[in-house]
Amino acid sequence: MRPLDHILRLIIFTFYLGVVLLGLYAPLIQHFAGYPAGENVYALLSPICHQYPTRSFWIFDRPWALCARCSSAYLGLALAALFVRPKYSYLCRAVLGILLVAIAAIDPMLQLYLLYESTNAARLLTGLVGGIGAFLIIYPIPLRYMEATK
Amino acid sequence: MKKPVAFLVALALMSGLAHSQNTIKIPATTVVVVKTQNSLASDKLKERQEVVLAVAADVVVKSHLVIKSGTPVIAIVESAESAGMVGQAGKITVAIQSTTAVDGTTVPLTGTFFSKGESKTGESVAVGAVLCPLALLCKGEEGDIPAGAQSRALTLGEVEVTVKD
Repeated sequence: MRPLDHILRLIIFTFYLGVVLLGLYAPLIQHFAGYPAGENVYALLSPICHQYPTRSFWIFDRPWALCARCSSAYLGLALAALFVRPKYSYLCRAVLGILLVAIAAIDPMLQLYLLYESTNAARLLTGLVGGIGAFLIIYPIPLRYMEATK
Repeated sequence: MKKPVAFLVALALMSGLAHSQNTIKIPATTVVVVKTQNSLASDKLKERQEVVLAVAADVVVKSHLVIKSGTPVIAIVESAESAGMVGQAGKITVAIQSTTAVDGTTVPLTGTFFSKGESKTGESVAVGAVLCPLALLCKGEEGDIPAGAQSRALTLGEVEVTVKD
């Protein structure tokens, strides 16, 4: 089971880090290679993120192709795949994950229903928390199997 | 004696005025964030209809404000298809055209807003064929760009703007 655990973690880490790097690549390639370079990346990522520029990080006067919350959520997922190894059953992890996602959802919900405009720092923080929570929910290998194979 | 002094003062004032204005070039493909002010639905707008949007964030070039947040943006409905029978979804594309710089210069822009409603063709055909043919009259969702939606528009070509120091 352990090699499977390593492979799965590596796949999750590579995939989600790749998504974040794509989000960063679009403004960078457009800055250095000029328009329309990068437009296909903006289009590629548009189905998974609203890409509102005022809610995104900017680099070289161009917004990332993912908003601050999505970027940090995917980064949180990628980092969690490498570093989060809780010693609990899947049920406990899933409950903890749901709790973290719920905490992360407070900020966008307040923004949606109240006259409150979040900041990129808050989006970054809640996105990371939500990403870690999502990892705890989606990661399938029950830890006791891994423990048993040690 | 008074006349040369007055002349010098006038000259100093004029040179001061000349220094207080500055010409700034907005480079081509500068990002201008545009937002909708109202909801734009595919069943309420027609093709080639003009809509007014707004600049969502100040555009600053070399520390000078060149386009102010809230400035109106002219856009045109490029295509608008209402939702149709058999669950066909509506869709709308709005093409961003231009805005105005702080000195009144027109700044041509390129960019789009796009929305496609949810298609209900599958459900409509399935229910229509099995249960009731009237289900084929069921429409899909309209394309709808909500109020406050943002898009990234880019300036078309270099534009010279006169700004105050």
